[in-house]
Amino acid sequence: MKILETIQHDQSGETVVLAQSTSGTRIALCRTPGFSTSSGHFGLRFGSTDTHFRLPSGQEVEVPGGSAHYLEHKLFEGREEKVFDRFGKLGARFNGGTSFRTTTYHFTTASRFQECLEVLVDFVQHPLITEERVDKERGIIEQEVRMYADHPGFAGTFLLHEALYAKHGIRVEPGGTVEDVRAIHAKHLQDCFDGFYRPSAMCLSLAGDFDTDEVLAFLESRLDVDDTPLATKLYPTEPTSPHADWLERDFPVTRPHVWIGWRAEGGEPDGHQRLRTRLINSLVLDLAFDVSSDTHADLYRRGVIDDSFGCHWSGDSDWGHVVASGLCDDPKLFVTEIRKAAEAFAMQGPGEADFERLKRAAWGGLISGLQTPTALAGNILSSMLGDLRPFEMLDALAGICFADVQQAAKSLFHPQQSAVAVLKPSE
Amino acid sequence: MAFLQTIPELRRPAPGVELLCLPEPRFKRAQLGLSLDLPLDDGRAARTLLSEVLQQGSAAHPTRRDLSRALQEAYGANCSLYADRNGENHRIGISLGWVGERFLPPGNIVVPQLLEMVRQTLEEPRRGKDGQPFDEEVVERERKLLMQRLAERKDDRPGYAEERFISLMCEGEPYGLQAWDSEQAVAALTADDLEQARMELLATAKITAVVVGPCDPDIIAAWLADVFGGRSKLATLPEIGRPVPAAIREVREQLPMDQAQFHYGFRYPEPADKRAFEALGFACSVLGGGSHGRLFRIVREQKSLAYGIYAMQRARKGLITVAAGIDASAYQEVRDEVDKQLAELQQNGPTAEEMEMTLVNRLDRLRGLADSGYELATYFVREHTLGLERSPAERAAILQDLKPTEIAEAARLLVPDMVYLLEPNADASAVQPEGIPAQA
Repeated sequence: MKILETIQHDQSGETVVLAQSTSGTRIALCRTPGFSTSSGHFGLRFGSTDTHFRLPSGQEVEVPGGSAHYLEHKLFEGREEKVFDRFGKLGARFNGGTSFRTTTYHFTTASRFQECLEVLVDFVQHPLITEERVDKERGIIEQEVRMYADHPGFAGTFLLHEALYAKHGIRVEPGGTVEDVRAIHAKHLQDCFDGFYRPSAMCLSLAGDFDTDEVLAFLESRLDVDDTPLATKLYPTEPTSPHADWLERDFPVTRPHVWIGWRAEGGEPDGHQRLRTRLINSLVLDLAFDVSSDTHADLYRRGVIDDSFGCHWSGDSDWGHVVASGLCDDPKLFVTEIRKAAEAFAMQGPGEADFERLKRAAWGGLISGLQTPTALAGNILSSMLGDLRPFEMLDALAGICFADVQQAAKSLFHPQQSAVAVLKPSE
Repeated sequence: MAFLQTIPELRRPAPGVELLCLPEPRFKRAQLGLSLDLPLDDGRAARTLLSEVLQQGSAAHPTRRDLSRALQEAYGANCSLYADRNGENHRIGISLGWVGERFLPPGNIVVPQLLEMVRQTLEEPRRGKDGQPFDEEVVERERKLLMQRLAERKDDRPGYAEERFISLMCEGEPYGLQAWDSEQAVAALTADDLEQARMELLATAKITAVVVGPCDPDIIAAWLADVFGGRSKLATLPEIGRPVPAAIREVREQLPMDQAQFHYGFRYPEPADKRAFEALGFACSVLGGGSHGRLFRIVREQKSLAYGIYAMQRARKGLITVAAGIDASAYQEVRDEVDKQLAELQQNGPTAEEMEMTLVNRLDRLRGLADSGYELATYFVREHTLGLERSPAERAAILQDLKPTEIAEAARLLVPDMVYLLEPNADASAVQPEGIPAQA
């Protein structure tokens, strides 16, 4: 175990010790004196879009959509005892999550931190994946997938991804389709685990009122030693323009739900640049369409948008796009008006006073999100999985200047890069 | 970590106004919650629309854009109003949040300006032309948007199923009423109705405030005294009803959807004392309080019939409700399992393992609540509303002393009232997307 660095972060008022295990697992410890709870978040950069990869043996593997999420479920089965029972006996709160590019596992406890930490690092590192066990979970995961199937926000988001991208893994929801779930077998999950759940790929973030040296000494004996190389992820080459201009789907909704997307040129392989892009583009979207903007006020007053309207940026190493969505009576009119407003904003550019105000508000939002040990550990793990330093988002935000958003505003709403998805009322 | 031994200081800064003080310098963000409660009377439609109209601007900040900009200037503060049913009352809630001073640049103080903004929103709304109490255009627009949102409730199938279940099970009781009354009532409102509702709300509502985080409660108390100090005629809130069901009822409704929504409701009489109350919560937790609960372990883990199944206590009304998203074909099996597990719990009480897991789970929550402003505020407002005023330490002591026989006895208080299923109708079918190829 090697201590790499101690970061005293002035803006957040937090101190983080960064360390690395013998096999390369990266560890962050954030002490929170006076807090009752402690939290552990363990994860890796392997998610739902990682369905095609080459194992260190050279063998190429393709697994069904939803495999990363299925594997997350199976890890909670444990080996001899269910993880539900192990954490249950300790009274901890726990869960896991699978996104497009990451899988994470976490607990929060107010009394038995070390025992919970032992459970966390044990069940994530030592699963038992058999066909029988995989079969047993299928019904539960199908119900989880079907739970999202009734959600218009979820359905519309993925219809937009289908319009924006021809081959990209983000076209499929992280849980996969019901058909995907039915096609997953133990071999698929074992290949995923063997290829990616390696000590050198794992990140562990802990926050609580603990003794840092004691925790590191404890982890030394609990983190696996294994230098098997990682599998290589293989992503399809995505055309640079949207796959479809306009996709529609009948859905049991009262009014049309509309999503408009604008693709950026590509993703950002570098984590620091990716963070900076996310912050800049989020500020641009706030400047263009936030409730505080003139554009929003005009569209709202004229009845083009209502409180269902929203915008956000989505991006990673190989994708990036803006989403604007809302409910309306006339999708074509809605799309025309939003696109017109976006293009007008790109032409006119943002105001500097508005930029300063929104940057200040964004800072308040970020700092407020670092409240509890659970939030701190989760935030730090997200940074680690994005190849960032803890709390780097606060420093990156401080470094953004007006010229950055001026430049981004000009290129974010390119008409040729836009696509639309509509859920039409089917009743 | 030890349990909190104390309950928050309760102040009464103005007639009919109570302030729960939870100053906590460790937190980065402070929160002030105001609940203005009145009966679920004929005025609730007006108060619901009023809560929307007030957020569209005040005399000092004439548009929503101006209000939003003022909040952003205050380092990303937040302020929102909402209308809802709470127990058998109608509530207008105000949530205010801001970053603690120690994180702001030296010399920056945001609390006074935020409190003044809330006061202006309530007392000096944006007026209409020619002496109109509100801008007609704003009222009409917000009415239309509210009506649309009411019509769109069905789009959220799980939320709609829960709403239907509660309103059917509690039909004829205030608990079964909607916060907005009805679409017809909203459609009939005038600007004068909203002004009358505003005056009545500020003058007569029972107000409960809670401040938590890095904030001096004296400032909040002084502000409440200033805004609400002149009140004299206060509303009387009704006692909550706890009818005993004569027989179990079953309702099944259909909509186009994929996953069916299952709800099962039980009623119980007023518990005899704090210990009996704790035993009821414990019984609910054993049944379906999370992944340690019986229903989760059997319906999900053993039978793979649901992704999640949970039991929830609605303590003021005396309800325990069970909810799950299931395949409609599994309805009878899930229902039978709930009956079977409850009957078993009523007869034999929890197993030793269930006692241990439920106890450790509940104690952990009590220990941990001091770390979250939201959880602290929720806990103590609930205690205050229920009239129990228990510290976490007091509850922990009772919990650790409960016996399985007391849990069984508490479970025997539960009387089944209604089983509800919102299920896919026959013509529901997945429709594949149709596409237009890109031109590029």
